[in-house]
Amino acid sequence: MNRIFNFNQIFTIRIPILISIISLSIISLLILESAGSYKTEFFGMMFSRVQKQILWLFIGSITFILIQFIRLRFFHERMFLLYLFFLIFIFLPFFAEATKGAQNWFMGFQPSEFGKIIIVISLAKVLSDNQKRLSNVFFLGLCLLLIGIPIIVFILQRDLGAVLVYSSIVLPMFYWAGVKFYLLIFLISPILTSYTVLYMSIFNSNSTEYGYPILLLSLYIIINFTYILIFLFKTKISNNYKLIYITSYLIFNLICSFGVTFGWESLNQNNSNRSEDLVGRIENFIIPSLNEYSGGWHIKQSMVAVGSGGIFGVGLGEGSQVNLRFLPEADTDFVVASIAEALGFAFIFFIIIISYNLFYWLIFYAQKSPNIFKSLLIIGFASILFAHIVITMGMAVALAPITGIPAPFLSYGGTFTLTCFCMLGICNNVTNNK
Amino acid sequence: MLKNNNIKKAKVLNQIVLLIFLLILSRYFFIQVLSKQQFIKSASDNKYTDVESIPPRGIIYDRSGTVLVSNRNTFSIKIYPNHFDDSFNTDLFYKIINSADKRSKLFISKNEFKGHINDYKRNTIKKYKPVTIINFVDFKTKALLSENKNDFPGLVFSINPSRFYQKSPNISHVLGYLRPVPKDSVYDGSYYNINDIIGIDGIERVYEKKLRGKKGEESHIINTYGKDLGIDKKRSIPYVPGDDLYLTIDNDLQAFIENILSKYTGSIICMNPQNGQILAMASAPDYSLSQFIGPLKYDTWQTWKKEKRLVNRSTAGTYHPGSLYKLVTSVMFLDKQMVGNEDTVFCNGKFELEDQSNPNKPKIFRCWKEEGHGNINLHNAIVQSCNVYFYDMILKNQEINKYIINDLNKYAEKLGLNQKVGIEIFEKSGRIPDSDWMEINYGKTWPKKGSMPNLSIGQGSNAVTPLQVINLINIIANRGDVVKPTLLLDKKINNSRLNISKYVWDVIQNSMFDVVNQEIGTAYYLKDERAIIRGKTGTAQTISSSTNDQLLSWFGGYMELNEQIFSIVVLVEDTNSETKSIAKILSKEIFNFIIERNINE
Repeated sequence: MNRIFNFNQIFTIRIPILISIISLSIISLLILESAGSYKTEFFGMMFSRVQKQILWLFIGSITFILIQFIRLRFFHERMFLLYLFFLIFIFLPFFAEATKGAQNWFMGFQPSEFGKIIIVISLAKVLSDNQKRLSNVFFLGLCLLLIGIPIIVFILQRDLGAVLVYSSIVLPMFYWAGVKFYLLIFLISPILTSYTVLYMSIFNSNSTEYGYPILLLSLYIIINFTYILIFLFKTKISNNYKLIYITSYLIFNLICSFGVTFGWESLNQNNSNRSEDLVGRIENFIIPSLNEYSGGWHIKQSMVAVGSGGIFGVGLGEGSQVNLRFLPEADTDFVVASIAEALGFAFIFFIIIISYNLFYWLIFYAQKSPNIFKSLLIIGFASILFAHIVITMGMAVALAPITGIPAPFLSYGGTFTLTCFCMLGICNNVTNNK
Repeated sequence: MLKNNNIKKAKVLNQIVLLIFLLILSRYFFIQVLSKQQFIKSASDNKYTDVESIPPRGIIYDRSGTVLVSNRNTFSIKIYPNHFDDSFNTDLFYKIINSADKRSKLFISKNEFKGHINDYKRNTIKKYKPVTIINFVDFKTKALLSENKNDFPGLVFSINPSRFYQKSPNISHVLGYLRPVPKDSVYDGSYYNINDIIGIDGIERVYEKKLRGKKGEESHIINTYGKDLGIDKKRSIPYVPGDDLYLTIDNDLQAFIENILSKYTGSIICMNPQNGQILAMASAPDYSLSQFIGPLKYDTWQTWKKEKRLVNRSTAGTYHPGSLYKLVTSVMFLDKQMVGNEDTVFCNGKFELEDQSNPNKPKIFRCWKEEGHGNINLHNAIVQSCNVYFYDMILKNQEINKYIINDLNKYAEKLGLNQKVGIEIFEKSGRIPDSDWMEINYGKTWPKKGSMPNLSIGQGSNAVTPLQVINLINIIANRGDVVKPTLLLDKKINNSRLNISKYVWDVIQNSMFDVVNQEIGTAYYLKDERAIIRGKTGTAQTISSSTNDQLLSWFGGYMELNEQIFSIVVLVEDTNSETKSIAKILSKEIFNFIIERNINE
């Protein structure tokens, strides 16, 4: 039983998955066509962007069907080998030249895209194999290390998008695997603390009217205070454990806030180009509309594109923001803004309905799956897709930081589209084995 | 147990997903539906750059439809720095510009020129905006540059709206010139912008609003790199072209009178008294309106000012009317029945008036004819232009009416003097003194007897414009009908009637007839069998000088030809006692021209 493929497998393609792939792809092709489709060389032949995307959709569909014949246990068995390959692959872009400030491309492909599949498989295997160690803090630390290594690599490659997306799988998968609630909070708390501290210091060093530092600070304090009270009086564990937990929680967060402050100060005092670039990126990440002339300009143009679309849009190919190139990356990172301008709020609403339908059913499939490894796969892939959709949609309206990640099936681009087909293919595969 | 747990977890995850999606959806709703207008405005601010479009100015025609002033645009040469490169043939560029057009020259050196544009080329934003190299280049230069367009990468042309004038006649004072708008009249809300042109003089000034039309607005679509993708026709507001004007000017007659007047300083006006239309109006010396296309050289301007070329002598030059004023005095004498037609005066060539302050040395007023005219009545006094008759009669009447100067002033005003005649372009009102004016200017010892004789023959403080004189001639020709002179062809005739008895007009017209048709008449030279010509000559000292070297030569009269009436007034400055009949000679030429043209038709 060591084979990858099992061609006797009978499969059905789930309707919610099919609907979302088809409808999002059609919208994507419409936008791509309306934005002016110039021809580029691809495998020695000339293709327009629409043709190229159709080709990718075709390749993706075949991959999707091929994946239905895969024995998912194979992934479970060969997880460490896959993870090793993955580590080797994500180091490759260091040997290539940087594009658009991020160094995450190699030979026209982004290793971090296919890595998303492997990292979910790895975490799913580790979590499902160690069900009884989930309340062991050291085990959880080991799991975090599994994701932490690639995340550190991505930080070095200045690929903030990948960092966000890879981080997004941790909480849902831990939660689904059965990690205790208070341990999850322990994990989230340093992120919240760092965010609050950074927000405060950036807000204080830049005089800007955007942002709500007082609100954020009071919200942070109230949430922590309430959480500690709830933890102390509602959680059913021994008092000693509670004392250790609370003490380490507070110390951990305190260290975190001091560390972040110190790191931020030293980064600001370092006057090299590289660190200035990083400072700018982090500032725009924390307060998206802060700087009009770097990332903030993108957001402004994106908001104008979205806002001028109105309820029914200005029509395909009529959008001035897209056609006059005011909106940057109009068919990849900011494709949602292009859609909002051309087709209006109606289609945004439609995309959200389609997406919610997809996630509803993915969670449902995970819930129905008897195998904890397989259900964790679904939750992991759903988290990744969810992160992509939320960030790309939020980015267009200044809700999320600009990271340069594509929207599933909506953005133009080969690797990611193929990855999405693979991820949904595996999810569909899970539902076959009943 | 596991299943139950999964259902609970699924529910929690579901709710989180729903919550986040609702948050995003509400954000989109807020932006796309609630604050849509603000973003639509930002988008169109991004998209459009509005540039005003300047309408073609109205064309000015003469009475028969000949174009007097039209538009022929000049061009600005501009270079897009982003298209500029080393293949630009600077030598040829300089050669064409510096040879073909004298008005505009390039002053910077070739290397500076290249460096300048390359500087712009390095700037990420400025490189997409055209740099103006030179303005007011004529069509010929533009054509030469266009022919060699491959040698000049990045070269474009833009239009400077400019007037185009015919070579002859100039009609400069009537038409007037255009200049860039004075800086202080470009304020917020003003129609004008800093580069616009505006009529400064003549018809161009008076009918500026009609001629200029209404500016439009072109909405250029500009992309994020500053590239112009063309004009959005739907959003643009088209300009309204200026209205055309038809003048009463007769182009051929105008050319003729400008030609004959060109050697002298003075003015000629030619009119139709019946409808008040001005057929020709010239003031010499004049200037070429073409000089005002583009920048006018400072030296030229200063010279013109010094030579008083810019003054329209026909309407804004004030002169002693001289003997022509005897017509006004005669109208008063006759209408007030101060003298009868049979009352005579003996003229021995001079008139002595005892001076109250110096009894031994009487003041002497001379007639132009030294040996005198003998016994003479009013009719002959006009025909032979006898001064003594008027000296004697005015003083006789002053003994009866001390303030006869006010009567004379009243009649002069009735006949259109001492006030603006009402033509469209700028005019002066001249001056006919009354007792108040004399008291202010000559002190309380006035009235002395000495000032009236001079005033009665159009000397002294009298000052009139040639336009007022022709208006007076018109009133006589119309037998008391006052028709406002006009330059616009489609203007309604604006007339009023003077309350002066028919008998007066008979006497005046007969006298003026005899001036031309009797051998003793002062303008017998003008007698022409083909038409009925009436007129009156005049010679006056210029206001500034009292010597006989600088005389004004006047002739005013009218001609009846085939039921048409033509009135003319000719004034020549700076004549002396030998050339003082020059006005008559010019008048003869004009009458000849009109008659011959009439026969040929």
